[in-house]
Amino acid sequence: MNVSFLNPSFLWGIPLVGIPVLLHLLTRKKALRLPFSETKFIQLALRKTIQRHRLRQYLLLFLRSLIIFFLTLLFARPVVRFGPVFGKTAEKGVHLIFLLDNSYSLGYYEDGAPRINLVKEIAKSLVSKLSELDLVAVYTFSDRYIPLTPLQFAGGFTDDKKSCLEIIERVTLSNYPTDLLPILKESYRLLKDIPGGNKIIVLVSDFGRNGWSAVATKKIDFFNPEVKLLLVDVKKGESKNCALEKIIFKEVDYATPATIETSIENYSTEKILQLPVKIYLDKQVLSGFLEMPAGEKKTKNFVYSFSEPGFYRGYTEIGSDNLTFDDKHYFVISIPEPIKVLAVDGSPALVPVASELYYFRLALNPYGQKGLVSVETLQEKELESVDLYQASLVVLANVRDLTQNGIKRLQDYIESGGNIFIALGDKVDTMFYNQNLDFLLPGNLVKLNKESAQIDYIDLSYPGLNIFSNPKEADFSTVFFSTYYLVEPKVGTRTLIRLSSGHPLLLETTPFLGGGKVLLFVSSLDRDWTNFPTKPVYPILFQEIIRHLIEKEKEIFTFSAGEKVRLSFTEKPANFVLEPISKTEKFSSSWVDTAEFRGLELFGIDKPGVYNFTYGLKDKLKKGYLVVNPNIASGESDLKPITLPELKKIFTNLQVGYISVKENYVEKFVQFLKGKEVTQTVAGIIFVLLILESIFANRFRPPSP
Amino acid sequence: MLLRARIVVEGFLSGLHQSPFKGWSLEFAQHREYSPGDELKHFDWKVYARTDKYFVKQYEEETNLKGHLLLDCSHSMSYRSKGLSKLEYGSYLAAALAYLMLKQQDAVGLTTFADKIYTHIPPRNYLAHLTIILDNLEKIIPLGETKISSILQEMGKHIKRRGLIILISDLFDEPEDVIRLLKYYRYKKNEVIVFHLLDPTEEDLPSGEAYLFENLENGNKVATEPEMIRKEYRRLIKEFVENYKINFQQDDIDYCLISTATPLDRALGAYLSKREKLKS
Repeated sequence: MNVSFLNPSFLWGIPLVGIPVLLHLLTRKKALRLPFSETKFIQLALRKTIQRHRLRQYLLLFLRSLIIFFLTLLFARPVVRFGPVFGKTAEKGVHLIFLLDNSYSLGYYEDGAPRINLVKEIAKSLVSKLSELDLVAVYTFSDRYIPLTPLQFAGGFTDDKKSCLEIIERVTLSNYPTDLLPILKESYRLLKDIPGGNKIIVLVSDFGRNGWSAVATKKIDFFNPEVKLLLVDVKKGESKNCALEKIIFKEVDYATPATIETSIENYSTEKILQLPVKIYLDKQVLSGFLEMPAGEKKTKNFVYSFSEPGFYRGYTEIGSDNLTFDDKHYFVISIPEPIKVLAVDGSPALVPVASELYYFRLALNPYGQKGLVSVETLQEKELESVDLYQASLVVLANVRDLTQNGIKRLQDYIESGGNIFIALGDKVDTMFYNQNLDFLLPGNLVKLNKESAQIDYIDLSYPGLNIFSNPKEADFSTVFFSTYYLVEPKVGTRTLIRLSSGHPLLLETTPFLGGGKVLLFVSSLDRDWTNFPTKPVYPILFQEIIRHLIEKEKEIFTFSAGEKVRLSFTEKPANFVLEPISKTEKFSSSWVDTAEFRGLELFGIDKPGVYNFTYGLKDKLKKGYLVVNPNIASGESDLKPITLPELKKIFTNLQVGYISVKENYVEKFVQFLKGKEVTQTVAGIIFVLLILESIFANRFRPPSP
Repeated sequence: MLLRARIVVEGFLSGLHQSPFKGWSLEFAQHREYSPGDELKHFDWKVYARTDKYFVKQYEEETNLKGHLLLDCSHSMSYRSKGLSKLEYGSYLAAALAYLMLKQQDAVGLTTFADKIYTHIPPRNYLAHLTIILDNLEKIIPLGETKISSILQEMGKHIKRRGLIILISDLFDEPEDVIRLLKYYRYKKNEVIVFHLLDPTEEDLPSGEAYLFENLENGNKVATEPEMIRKEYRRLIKEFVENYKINFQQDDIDYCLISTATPLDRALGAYLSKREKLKS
C-alpha cells in the first residue's frame, strides 16, 4: 500500500507539530509565592504524584502534536492505493490491459441476457473511468487470444478511449473453451518492458474452473509483482447446465437396426426429473426423456432402422437450459452400400460345401443376400466379360490360370484402384503365376510346403488386422496349416501374417502407384490345406481385411469447435470447395505434406454444424462432410467456479484485487486504480484524539468550589 | 476579646446547669453521709449492705477544677487563607473557655508556647483573673517553630495536681511524641482535651495554577500545582487527622477538629453540647 496526497502543499504544515512543544516550553506557569503553615504534606504528596503527572503531561503533548499532524494530513487529503509503500505512483498514467473472456461459457444466460453482454458492459464502464493519461489494450480470450486495440503505441496500447468502447461493443462470443495460461503469459510479457510504476491487468470473466487448471498446476515464472491484477467476476448466481457429450451409432448398416447412444451430463447441483432428448434424423424425430441426477452422466438410447445406404445427417438436442451452445450435437452417419465382391472359384463343386469359395462366402455374408457384403461367384471364363469395376474386390480362389485378356483386365482393374485378393490352392499353376501374374504378386511362388505350421505373427499395425489386438478376438491357437506355398516376398511387399515356420501366410503389395492393392493368401480358402475355415477367427479376418481394402477416402470428418481442422488425403484433391453454414463465414485452406500428416488444413471453421465439401480426385468428383461440435471434452460446460481462496493461492505474493458484479464495481475499480481518499478516516482519527486529549487534560481538574 | 468570649459562652450557659467540665472524671475521692436531695446514682449500696448506713460517693471533680489552657502560638498558627488566622481563632477559643470555666468558679490558667513557653499564667478561680488571661491573649504574636512535645514535657512541672489540660494547636509536630505525652497526662488522671485547628486551605489546598509554598516556620519552599497533588494531599491530611483521632480515642482524650472557617460559637457550642450529652 502507498500513500499520496491530493493537496500536497499542506504538508508544509507538518512542522507545526512542534507548536505544542514550544508552547509547553514557553508558557510554563509562573508560581505565586504563598506562605504556608506546613509544607511537609505538600512535599510528600508531590513526591508521590510527580511521575504520574509528568507522564500525563508528555502524553498530552504527544496527543496535541498528533492532532496537529493529522490536521495537516486532513487538509492535504491523503489517498491510499495498492502498491509497495515506496512504490512509484501514477504521475504519468496507468497502463491497463483488459482481458475479456469470450469463451463459450459466457453464453450462459443470466437475468435475460448472456454473460458476454455483462462482460462488455463492465469493460466499457471501467474504460470510461480512465483518464487521458491512461493507456489501454483490449484482448478477448478463450483458449486463444485476439488483440483488439490497434498498434498505436508499443504493445498495442492506445489512449483513444472512444475507439476502445467501440471495439468492446463489437466483441462477440466465441465457440471455444477457456485456457488462461496463454493470455496471462502474453499480458505479462507486454507489460514487462513498459517503464513506470502503474501497470494493471483487468480480467473480466465468469471464472469457471475450466481453463484455470494449467495456471493452478504449473509453476508460473512470468508473474511480475509490479503488475497489479484486478479480477472482475461477472457471475451473479449459481450456474446450472446440462450438456450433450457425444453420440455413438452402433451396428450401423441398413440390414440391422442401429442403436444410437446419446451421452448427457448434468453439471448442476440440482436433479432434473425429465430432460427431453430428441434426435432429428432423416426428417424424422426420435424423442424421449431422461432423469438426470445432479452431477452425473447418463445415456439415452434410441433404435433406428436405416432403410437404404447413403449419408444421413442430423442432430441431437436436449431440453434447453441457460447455456444453449452445448445442448446440440451434430452428426453425419454413412450407411454404406453393400460391398460387391466378384470371386472366381478355381475349384467349383456341385455340392456347395465342397467348392473352393464356400467358407469364404459364408464368412463375408453370414446373413445371406441382405448382408453388407455380396459375393458373386464367377467361373474363370467369366472373368473375360464381367464388369469388374462394379466390384470393390476381385477374388481369385485357387485359380489355375487366366487368359491374356483376363490378365489384362485385371491389370486395368488394379490400375484404376480396384483390389484383388488371391488365394492359392491345389489347382494353381506355379509357373503361370510366376510368369504371367508376376506384376500382381507380392512375391514369387517357390514351392509347395507340406510342413505343418501355425500362425505365429500378425501385423497389428495393419488397419485391417488391428482388431486382433484384442486378445478375445485373436484366438489363432487352434489354427493349423498342413499345406501352403512358400513365397519369396518382393521388395516393398508387406507381410501381414507369418507362420511358425517363418514363412509368410498373407502378404500385401500395391503393384501400381495410385492403384489398388493385391493380397496373397498362400494357403487354400477351404479345408483342403487348413482347418482355418472352421475357426471363429476366419470370418473376422477376412471381413476386416476386405473392409479395409475397399475403404474409400474418408468422407466424414469430425472436429470440436476450435480444434485444428485437418482432412487427410492420400493425394492433393483438386477444386476443394467447402459450403459455409452461414454467409458470414470465410474459410481458407492449405495443403500439408509432412511425415506426421498429409492432407488439407482448413481455417475459419469453428461454428458447430455440418459442412458439405466437394473435391476432385482421380478425375472423379467426390464429396464429404465436416461435422463440427462444441468442445465438451474440454470441460467448459462445467460452469463450477474457481474459488477465491484458490485464486489467491495461484496469485500468491502478487497485488490482486477481486470485484464481483454484484457490488459497486465501478467505484471499487476506481479505488483500485486511483486509490481511496481517506480524509474521512483521518477526520475520525482526529475526533478520537480530541476526545482523548480532553479526557486526559480534564481528568485531574477538581470541581470548582 | 472579652465581649466575644462572653457572647460565645453566655449563649451556651443559659441552658447549662453546671460546668460542662465537671463530673467527667469519675475518680472516687471519699464518702460522705447521705443528705436528702442527693442523687441516688451516687448512693453506695455496698457500704449500706455492710453497715446499714447511708453514704454517697464523692468525686474529685466536685472539688475545685484546675484548667490549663495551652495555646500554640508558633508561626504555623499565624496562617490564614481568609478570615481569622489559626492563632486568632485559637485565642478567641481560649478566651471563651477561660470565661466559661471562671464563670463556673473553676480555676484556669494560660500557657502560650511555640518552641518554648512564652507565657505561663497559673490557674486561679477568681473572675478578675480573666482580665489577665485576656490581656495576654490580645497581645499574643506568632513566634518560633512548633515543638508541642517539648512544651508538654516542660508543663509537667506546672501541672502537679490532676486537672484539665486543654491544648489548642494545629498539631504540626511529630504526632507520636504529642500523642505519647498527652497520653501520659491522661495516665496521670488529667482530663485532656485537644482542639485541633486547621485552616480550610490546609485541609484542601488553595485553588490556583501554581504556587511556591513557603514554610512559615523554617522557610522551606516547594513549588507545585495544587491540582496535581490535591488528591494525594487530602489523603495525607486525612491520615494525619485520623491518626490523632484514633490514638486520642483510645485513651479518652477528647479530640475536636475545628476548621477556622467554622464560626467559633457554633464550633464550641457543638462541642460543649456533645460533651454534656456524653456526661449525662
